[in-house]
Amino acid sequence: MATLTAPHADLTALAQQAFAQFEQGLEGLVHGPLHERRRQAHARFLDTGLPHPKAEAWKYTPARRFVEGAPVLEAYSRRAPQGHLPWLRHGFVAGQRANVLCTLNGRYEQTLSTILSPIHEVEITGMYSAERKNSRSLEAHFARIADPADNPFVDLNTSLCGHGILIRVPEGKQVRLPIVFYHLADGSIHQPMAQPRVLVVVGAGSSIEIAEVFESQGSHGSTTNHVLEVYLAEGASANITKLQKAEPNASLIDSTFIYHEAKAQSQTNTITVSGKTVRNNLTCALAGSESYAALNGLYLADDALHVDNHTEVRHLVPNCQSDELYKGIAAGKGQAVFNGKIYVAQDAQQTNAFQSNRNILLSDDAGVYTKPQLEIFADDVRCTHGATIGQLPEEAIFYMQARGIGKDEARRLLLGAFAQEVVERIGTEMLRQEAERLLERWFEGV
Amino acid sequence: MATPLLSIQDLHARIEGKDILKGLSLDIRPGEVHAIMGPNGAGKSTLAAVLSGREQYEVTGGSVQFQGKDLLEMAPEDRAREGVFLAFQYPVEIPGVSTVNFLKTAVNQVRLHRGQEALDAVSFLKLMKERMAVVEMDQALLNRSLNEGFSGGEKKRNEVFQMAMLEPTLGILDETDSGLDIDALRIVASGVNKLRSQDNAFLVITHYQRLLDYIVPDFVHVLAGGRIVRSGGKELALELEENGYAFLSE
Ligand SMILES: Nc1ncnc2c1ncn2[C@@H]1O[C@H](COP(=O)(O)OP(=O)(O)OP(=O)(O)O)[C@@H](O)[C@H]1O
Ligand SMILES: [Mg+2]
Repeated sequence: MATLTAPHADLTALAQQAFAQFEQGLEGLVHGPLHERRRQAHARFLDTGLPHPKAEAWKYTPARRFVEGAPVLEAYSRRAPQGHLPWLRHGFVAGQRANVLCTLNGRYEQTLSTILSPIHEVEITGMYSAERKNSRSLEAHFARIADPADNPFVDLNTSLCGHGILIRVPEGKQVRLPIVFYHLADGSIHQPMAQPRVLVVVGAGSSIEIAEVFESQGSHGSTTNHVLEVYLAEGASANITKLQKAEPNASLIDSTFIYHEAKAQSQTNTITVSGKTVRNNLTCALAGSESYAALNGLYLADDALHVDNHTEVRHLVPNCQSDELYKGIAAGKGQAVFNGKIYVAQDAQQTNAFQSNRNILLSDDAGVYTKPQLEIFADDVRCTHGATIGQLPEEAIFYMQARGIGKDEARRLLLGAFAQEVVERIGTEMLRQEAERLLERWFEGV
Repeated sequence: MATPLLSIQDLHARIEGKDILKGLSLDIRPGEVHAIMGPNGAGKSTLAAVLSGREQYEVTGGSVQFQGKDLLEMAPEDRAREGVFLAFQYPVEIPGVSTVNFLKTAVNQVRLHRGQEALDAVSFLKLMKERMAVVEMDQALLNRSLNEGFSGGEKKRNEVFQMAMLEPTLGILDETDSGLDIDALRIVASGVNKLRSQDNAFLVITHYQRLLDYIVPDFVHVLAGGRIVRSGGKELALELEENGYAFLSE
């Protein structure tokens, strides 16, 4: 019997080719310490391949969706940027006081980037030149924070990484202007599978604000396989906002790993408004005492977008806290997945871990799979979690109608209120406004 | 006699297959206040719900004319825009939507419907300040999410405040007095009195004669078994207070 599945590429074969080609271009770097990590990652990827359709972590979002069609695996290439890039000139960051760093099909494009912050606050370097200069930050943390377990896409990215971005904040610095990444997938010539990579190393007591905007263009479609590693030294803090707003033919795997030393703090806001298939993996390791992680998410699934958030908070030492709030709205035939894992190691006593996942279904065909996954080995732990799936409250809609507010407007107000709880946590105003604008537009359409 | 503002003829309505209103007729003219009393479960809130357009209620017979238009044909929001206001017996809590935002949207949608321009932020705040005074509404409440965590009395006061903002032609108050303390009752009632004019009318649903000491009705009706079984002047309320509804079973 014939099955109707979209054709998909043999990713291991592609990876092998891409890696061989990539190695040739690396010249002397193949003998360096980082390349050993790439080689290991490559070997592991060939060994594991794509996650099996029945693998628990990929059950609701089959991995082969990301290689449907005929993707071209992009490794390091010296090709000049193709196509034109309307985003940068007309996007919401244009004219804002922000550092804007652009990756095009995974490659850091310095000519499309603007750095305003002084170098004593933050060093921004292409990984390729950082590697040539034997950057200690790179050597200490590259591929050491990201964990490829259950997620072979991380290994794929690592193995082909040569053109990512390294952000280093020295000790005791407050980076005043936000750093906005534009990760652009351009499918106007072929269908790329891009591998953007960012490593952020924040020195003791320093703070940084980061945004990652994911966009796409081009009729061939694209897949972006992104990895972000963040290392927070003692007392450092990072505020990270992701705005995932690609076209309906562009898919995204966004794997983010944040490592906290003592008293370090992070807040991550993941806002997914459009795209084809979006899979977010966010792992926060609380490895130093009194560290703190906040994980916020908002996702809008519809006929075009399937969205999957897998989060993991790892309480490894005593006295840490995590707060997690993910909210989702599914319309039409939209499907969304939330899997929130909380791991508390045996000696991570006095842990506080909170998790909440709330969902609204706007149609009978929409669906949400939500699962808390608790692995708690300490006994002195405060851990609360809850998940709800509901509809917009009829009572509230009628109440508003009875005041002269049209039904559609009433629904929009309620959806806006539902989303606001997450949106208001976005620190940077221009991002919050952009998120609000995108949400409004989505609410208009459903 | 003036033509009725609201004319209900032989209204039948049911919910979940259960007949609640069974032939209710009532005319309300501009300038009048009608009180409706009656035992629990008689159908008073059902009448209010049907008039305001609640979907769950199925109208199985009869008609309702409002200012010469077929009210039952209209969507709930259009009824409100045409000037029907229901102060809910149980106001709904809406987390995340502030009273101010909500009212601004409502006031402007109603204004647009009436061919008036939308109010800008400044004129809206001015109107709000003015109408807050009518029911001695606390500003702090208005900045909070709509009705969320409001006390029972605060919710009721907020209903009358919203009514003052929207200036309806027909105000329906469903047990607005229940949950109000004695002072609040006086304030809210005097607020309603300030809104009374020759052009509008009120339908006041209550269990207690005391409210009617403050909002003096022109007519008092007893609703029982889905129909109006007795009508009279304001003295009927006193009689009911004294003797209850025993006469119904006679
Ligand atoms: N959703 C529903 N399903 C079934 N029956 C209902 C529903 N809503 C109301 N009823 C019934 O309709 C009848 C009339 O209710 P209604 O709320 O109109 O009474 P009421 O006169 O306002 O009473 P009260 O004085 O207690 O407020 C009651 O018997 C009630 O149980
Ligand atoms: Mg009632």
